[in-house]
Amino acid sequence: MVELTAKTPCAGLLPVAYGALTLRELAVAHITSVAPLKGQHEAVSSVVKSAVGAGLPDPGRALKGAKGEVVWSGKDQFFVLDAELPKLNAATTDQSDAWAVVALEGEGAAEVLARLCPLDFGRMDEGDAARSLIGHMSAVIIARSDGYDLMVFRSMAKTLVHELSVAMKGVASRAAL
Amino acid sequence: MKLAAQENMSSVEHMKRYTTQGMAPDQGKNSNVGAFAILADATGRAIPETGTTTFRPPYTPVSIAAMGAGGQDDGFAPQRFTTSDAQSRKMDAPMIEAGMWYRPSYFPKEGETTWQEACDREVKMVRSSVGICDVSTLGKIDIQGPDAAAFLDFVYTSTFSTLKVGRVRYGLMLREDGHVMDDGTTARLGEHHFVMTTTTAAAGQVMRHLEFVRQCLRPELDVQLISTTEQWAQFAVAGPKSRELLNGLLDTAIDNDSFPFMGCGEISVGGIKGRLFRISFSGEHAYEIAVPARYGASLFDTLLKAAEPIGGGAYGMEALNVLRIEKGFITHAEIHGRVTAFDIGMERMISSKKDCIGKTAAARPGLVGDAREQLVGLQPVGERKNMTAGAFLFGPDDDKTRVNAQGYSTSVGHSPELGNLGLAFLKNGRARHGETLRLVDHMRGVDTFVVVTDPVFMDKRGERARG
Repeated sequence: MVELTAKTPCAGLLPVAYGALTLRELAVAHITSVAPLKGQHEAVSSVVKSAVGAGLPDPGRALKGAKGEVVWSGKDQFFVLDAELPKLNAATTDQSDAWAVVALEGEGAAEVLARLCPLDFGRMDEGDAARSLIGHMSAVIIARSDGYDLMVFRSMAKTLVHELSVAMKGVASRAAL
Repeated sequence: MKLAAQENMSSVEHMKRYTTQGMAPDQGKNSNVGAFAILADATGRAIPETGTTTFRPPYTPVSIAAMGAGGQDDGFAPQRFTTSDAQSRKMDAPMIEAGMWYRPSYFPKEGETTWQEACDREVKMVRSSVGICDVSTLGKIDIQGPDAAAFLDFVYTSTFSTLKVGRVRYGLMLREDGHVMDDGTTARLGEHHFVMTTTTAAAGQVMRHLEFVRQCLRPELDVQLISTTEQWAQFAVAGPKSRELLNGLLDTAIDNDSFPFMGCGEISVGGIKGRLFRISFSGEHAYEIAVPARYGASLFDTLLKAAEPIGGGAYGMEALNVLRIEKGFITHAEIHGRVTAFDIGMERMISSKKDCIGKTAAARPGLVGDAREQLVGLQPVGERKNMTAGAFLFGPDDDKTRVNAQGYSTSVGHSPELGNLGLAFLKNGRARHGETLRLVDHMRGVDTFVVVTDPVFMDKRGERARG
């Protein structure tokens, strides 16, 4: 009998810390993309709500429920984190292995991202979600109370950690002056 | 400026639009001062009467260094690593860049001193036993919705709505201008569910194209798209012993009925659910097995361990290239953006029964016919055997000058069985099989007599893949 072992996208790369800033990998049990079929947005939202505890959010938002979170991830598209979903009137795909998911936390997290991302972090509140770039990497960015959750393609995990580490080091060094 | 005044463009705003003054990189910050003075002079007014325009940011030049900040060393561009990357490097495989991906060139064995030896061995291994190759870098696009099949019929030249669930079909995609954009296979996983494979090089371009079609050209279709490239670690298992190897690993054994040539379906390996596609880029009896990426590294190790006792092992890009040249399969070396379906001998794939993107443009005069450079094979016939890609084809007695060039080579490889082989585009090439020409690479000093052949060098009827 074959036995396959699992490896996380950031295995061997994280955690790292510079000054008050920390970067760690998040374990998300499931990531499911949900794109409602035509005219099904409301119906899909209510089924998602009963399964996750949160329905489909407005563009640019993430909603937390008892069993998981629903994150806006593009035009008519959402990522459901952690929770498992019943059959929906939507196009769904398993994205659980497709993303490196990390948490950037601590004083100065917004300054770190400002070095790598064109978004105005002063205007992002907790629970805001955005699609943007981190360096040259397409990313999902979710604002948290103490920092940001970041998602980039799994294959780019090493570059993500590298770029964030360089920026964190810079911000931490400045703070120490 | 004087001409502007003479033409009665005496208002600064008119002068600006007439001359495009102030629209250069300095945005008028420096040049406007002089320009206004000349206009004032030409119209006999003072500068304040003439007026000035408002210049916009950037008022001061942005240094190239500021724009390039963070772009040094590893920050220059993202690096994309497959799940088999660490193991491939451990096996001393030199890694080559394919887009942002890194892929193994070849896997050197003890005693081999050149890449050619390793490549020859890997080709022979795939033809006689079984080879393993990471193909996760190919783009995978998940397409779902009641109109998914209609959507594919519109973007592909051939019909996909007739494809049965559990089957895979090769497809060709054209640009709006009728030239070939990309090729690949698409599998039907359910009535309303397809997964498309793109080439590694064009994955992003195809995704962008499909989104454009969905949102702008056919918004009435109920279809959703998302990339699943990163979700799956996918490995080619190619060679006459591929099924034997897989049946030693899969939880439920497969046979020719459950997985015929161009079949696909769900499988389970070590209790992990995956997908299996019986497709072949080598011309051999071959499969691609996909598991969620977290198990990719582990599956690669498992496949290698299972391959070695039966004379198999890993193969890299060099061998992959030779295998596909032997079979006359195209890559972006051939579909480089200036070729049509007619040029590559696939014009019959443009279905007459339906419309598709590029169909009308592909039928324009000049895009079909004898004047086109058409895909052919090349084999050396003289003393000299060396061939290069990007060399030009000349008549045996012609001057080797630009005006006499009749075509060019796109891919070459060394087949351990057949010697050096090449693919090329040659004017009216399909009607000229058997003709002897000269392949000349002025830059690399190559001048080789070659015979024009069919682009498929091996197993023309495709019996090995169906085996």
